[in-house]
Amino acid sequence: MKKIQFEVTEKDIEGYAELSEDYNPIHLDNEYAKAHGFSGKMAHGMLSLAKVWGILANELEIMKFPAEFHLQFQSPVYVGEQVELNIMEKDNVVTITGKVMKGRVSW
Amino acid sequence: MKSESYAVCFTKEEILRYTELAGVKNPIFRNMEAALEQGYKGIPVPPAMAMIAYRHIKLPWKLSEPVILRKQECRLYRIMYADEIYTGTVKISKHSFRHNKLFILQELEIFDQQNHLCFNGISHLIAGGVIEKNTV
Repeated sequence: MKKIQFEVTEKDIEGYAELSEDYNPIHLDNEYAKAHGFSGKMAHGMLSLAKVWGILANELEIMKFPAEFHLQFQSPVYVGEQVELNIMEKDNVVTITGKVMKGRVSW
Repeated sequence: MKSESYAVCFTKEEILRYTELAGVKNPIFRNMEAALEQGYKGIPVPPAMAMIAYRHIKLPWKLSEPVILRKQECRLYRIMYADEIYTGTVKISKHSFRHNKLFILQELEIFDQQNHLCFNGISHLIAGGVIEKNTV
């Protein structure tokens, strides 16, 4: 099993919002996110996926173009949080669990 | 409900921005020569980047906020390339009310010019509601 960490910054979230044109205020407006029961602005799920894919594509040649991937977002990833990935590879399937230092997130 | 088909293109500049966000080091995503050397016919589109195709597609419905992505499934059938034109459609394949929330499956499909399916992305969303603008 391999462990790798990544962080989602405010700049990452703004960059992904511009690129995808996904301006859902839950990602960009602290007050709005708090009003809907969250601790603050959170990363786009697909930004978290981009980060995970980036790490795996750097680490594992087979992850350059995976045939399919399934993700479950169990808890938000908030700005500035470190996510630790546990990566297990078996029979052409890579299983990754991401755990936030404060709280928990899984794919 | 299903959207119309829209032209979708992923530019080299967008791929560069995406790979910078993802922290990818492999030069095939930014350098044509490196991509050709490794057997690609151009600069390939990163697999999950296909989801940004939503920016090109006008949905005939609007999801009421807050919209939360709880699960995502993506299938890559063919590698797509920078600056080529594809077509994309989105449909709501299923929705239900549970615990006072609307659970929706929203499905993006991207086809090449020969009408081969290249990418399929199913988003499991929770939303406040669906407001229908018109139907196709």
